[in-house]
Amino acid sequence: MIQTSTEPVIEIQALEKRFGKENVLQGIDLSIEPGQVVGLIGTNGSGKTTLIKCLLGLLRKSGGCSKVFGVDSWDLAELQKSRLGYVSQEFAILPWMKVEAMCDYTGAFYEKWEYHLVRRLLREWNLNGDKRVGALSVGQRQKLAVILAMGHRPELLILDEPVASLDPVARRQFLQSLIEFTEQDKNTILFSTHITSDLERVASHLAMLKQGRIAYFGELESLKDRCKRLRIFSDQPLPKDFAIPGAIHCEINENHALAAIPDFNYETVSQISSRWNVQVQVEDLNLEEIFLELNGIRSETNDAEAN
Amino acid sequence: MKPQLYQVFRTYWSRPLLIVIGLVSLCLTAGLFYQSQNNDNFSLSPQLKRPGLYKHADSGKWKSFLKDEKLDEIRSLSLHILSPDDNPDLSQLSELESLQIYAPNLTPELLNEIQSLKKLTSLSLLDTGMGVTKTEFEIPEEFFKKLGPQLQELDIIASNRTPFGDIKGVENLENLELLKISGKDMTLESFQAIKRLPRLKYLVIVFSVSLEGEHGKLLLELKNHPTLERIYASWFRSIEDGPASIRMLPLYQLSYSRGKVAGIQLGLFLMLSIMLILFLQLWSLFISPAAIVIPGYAIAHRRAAFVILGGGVFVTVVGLMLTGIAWLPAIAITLIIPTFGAMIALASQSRSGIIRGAGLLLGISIGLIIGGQATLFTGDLLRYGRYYAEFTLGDYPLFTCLLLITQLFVIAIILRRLPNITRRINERYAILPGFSPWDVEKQQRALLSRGSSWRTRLIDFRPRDVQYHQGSMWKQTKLWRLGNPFRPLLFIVGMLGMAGLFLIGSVYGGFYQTAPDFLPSFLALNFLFQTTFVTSIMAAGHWYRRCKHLELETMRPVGRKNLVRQLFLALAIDQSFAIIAGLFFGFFAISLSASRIEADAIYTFVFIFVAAVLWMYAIGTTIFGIKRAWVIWTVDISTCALLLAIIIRIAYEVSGRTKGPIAPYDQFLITTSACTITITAAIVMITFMYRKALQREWG
Repeated sequence: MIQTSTEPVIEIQALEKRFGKENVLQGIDLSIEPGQVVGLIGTNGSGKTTLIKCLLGLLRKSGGCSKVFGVDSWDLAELQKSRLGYVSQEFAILPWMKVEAMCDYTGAFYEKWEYHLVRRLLREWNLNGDKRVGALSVGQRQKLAVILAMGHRPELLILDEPVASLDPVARRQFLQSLIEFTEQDKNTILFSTHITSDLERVASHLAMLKQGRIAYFGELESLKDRCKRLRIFSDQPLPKDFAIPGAIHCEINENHALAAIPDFNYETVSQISSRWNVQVQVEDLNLEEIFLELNGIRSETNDAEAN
Repeated sequence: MKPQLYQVFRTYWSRPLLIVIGLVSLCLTAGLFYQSQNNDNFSLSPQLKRPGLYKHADSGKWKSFLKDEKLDEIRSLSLHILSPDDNPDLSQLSELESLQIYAPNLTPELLNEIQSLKKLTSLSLLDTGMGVTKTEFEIPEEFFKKLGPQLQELDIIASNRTPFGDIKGVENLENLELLKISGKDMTLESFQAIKRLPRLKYLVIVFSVSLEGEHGKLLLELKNHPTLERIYASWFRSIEDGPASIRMLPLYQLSYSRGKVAGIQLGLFLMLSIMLILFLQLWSLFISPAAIVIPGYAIAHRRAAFVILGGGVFVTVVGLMLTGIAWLPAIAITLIIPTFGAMIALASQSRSGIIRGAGLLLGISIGLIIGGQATLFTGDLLRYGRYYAEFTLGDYPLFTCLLLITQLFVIAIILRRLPNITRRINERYAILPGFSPWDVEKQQRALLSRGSSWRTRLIDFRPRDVQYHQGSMWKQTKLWRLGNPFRPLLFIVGMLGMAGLFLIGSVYGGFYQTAPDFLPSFLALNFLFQTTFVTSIMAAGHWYRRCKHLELETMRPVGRKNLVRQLFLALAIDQSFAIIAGLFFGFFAISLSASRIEADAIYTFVFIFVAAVLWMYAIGTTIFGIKRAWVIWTVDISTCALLLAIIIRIAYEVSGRTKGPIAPYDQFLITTSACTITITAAIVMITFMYRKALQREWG
């Protein structure tokens, strides 16, 4: 199905969600355009699943606004639901049904169900159609859940940690199918994961959640361009008031220092060099390192580097 | 071990659901001990009919009664004659079918008035003996001759001070089916006259009889009476001392303690709630890997279970004994539910599929029948089965001891095998029960890996059953229903088949000869009643489990409002299959009592049935409106209790106007009020739950 509108597929403004006194989402702003593949990352308890559930109307928001295909998430109707697919983190799908019957059963709810696509994916992902769903392993059930979510070729696919239980082969197959899914029809994907290498492989954009807020949202490559590690060397011990403006953290060890900056530009490098009379080495960070740095965890020890 | 035991007990009171059931248990315990103060007895003998509009009157205000009341609508009357000189004119009561007269003296004039009632079929004569002008209770022969063809039921009550004289001519009542005689003594001639009643079915004797003497001999002659089915006697207990041949008579106890009946019912429910607590907790704990990994896990839980069960048994036995039940039967009655619980648990863990199936079926069937009869129909059971009454009084010590040994044996096995059962549960069941505290996504992997069993094949559907339906509400509801493994029609057919087997089995098993219309009909009725109830509960239970994991399914292309509507409709359809069993129940009841049943009774039955089905549905819908199990249980139990309290209050208010048994008209009034309130409450509840379901977070 080809996206005809340029309006955001997902639009979230100042979204809040409270569970009793706990404020899990604290004013989320997010806008996802058609064709974007957005990876959602964050530490455990940062609110990824809650955000997805609020977005799908599975949880009622405490404040703010959340829309999918221009309709309030809580009031998603048949039309909007038929355009989206969802894979939950914990899926319990009718264990007594056979895999093939489960596919047919799910398909009966949709006007357009791609039986050939489903059969092909079942075959490629080695799922036995005669087996009962309850008899499948956790990974196999996750595969089935992904197939069921894609069977009606949704325009928007929302996946909550879809690859957590998949083996490397299945993960690769899954990512490949996601790439096909977006390349062919310019569909939109929002998926949360802890496996950053997968994100790097398929995501065009990244949304990072930190303590219920969006810490970063933008293009993945842009984040990589902006977030750098600076390795600073000096002939003399660095002074106590040595500081790098805008650094997430800066660790000084006698005559060398290590710093991570989220908004890198070469002007900063020249400023540091000239002011402190030091040599500055700029290093790229991979997504996992960026994630760790942005969450206040050093991605590399200074001692190890020194050696 | 003590800290470990303490930790085990902590797992019990940390679950709100168990606390709710625990509170119910406490209420039942309080009720059980309260019943021990109840000294009331209720009559087990058949009562005289009081059809249609029932009125009370006394001779002092007779003229105003005749003026104020619509006399042609009165079909039943209770009349008090205040003075021997009063002679009320009854001829205007042309539709009167049932008459109770309380008179100081049965004067010839009064008897003449009674004879003038052409439609009278049921007569109760109570001579209060206050207008003492004679020394014996006498009714002239002519009186019975004249009433002969029309009277079907007769109750003659002489005062305690007045011995019976002759009641000659009773044998002229050629259509009399029920005869009740109460008084100080009775002449042999009158007794012989009774023997000659051609259609007598029930004889109720409330006077002393010397079993060794002439009365005994005459009684024995009743053994050959062609139509006599039962003799209810006030001296029932003394037959043990009489000649052995007297026990050949169809003798039944006249009355039984209300406290004992209520005690037995409450005791059984108390044990049921305790077993429920143990089952929910043990199952959910034993299914966790900790049950295998932690050393001594099962031992600590077994001790905790033993303490709880032992405490429950002790309290129940004491409560039952306080109501007057002998100690041995009290223990046996208390252990009924634990024994069946253990039987079902043992059978379900057997390695043999046949034993598993058979044991489970047997356990459930016996549990349903005995448990159901003992809890819901104890009064009826006592009315027909004298052995039951004797059993509760401790008359069969050997039988009771054997029963107890069997019960203790089964319970001991289950306690001993608890570690093995734990391991088997762990190996075979990865799924947790609906009310488990563990939040896991494990499924019945091991169970379903074995391939298709006949059960799973039975619920498989054909691909053509799951075609896209183009937005049809009805077909989409059918789709939702197909997602549940519960097939109500199959279940009903199975249960009805079992009811039929019980019916045939009891007819050909010899019960029929000893209890003509008791066991077959009773078993079948009970079975059908419980099938209706169980089907409703099972449907709601399956939907509750489905709703717990409906997150993914709610993302199918259905709007929130339609989704909720379809779910409500799906539950209604599933529960509506219970109506099939209910209809069988109704037709069976009607066919059994075709000669006596009236249109009013059928309407009342339909009304009760509609109210009951609607209420079952209403409490079923709580699973959609409420997420947490313990809240569902609390709401269901408390609303049921509230409704029951309101109905009891109404019944008390209505029946409070009369003394003695509730008149049919008042019964009708109580029933219609109760049904109307139930239907209204059900509609309110359904509406409320529908609104709550619309706001439910499915994630």
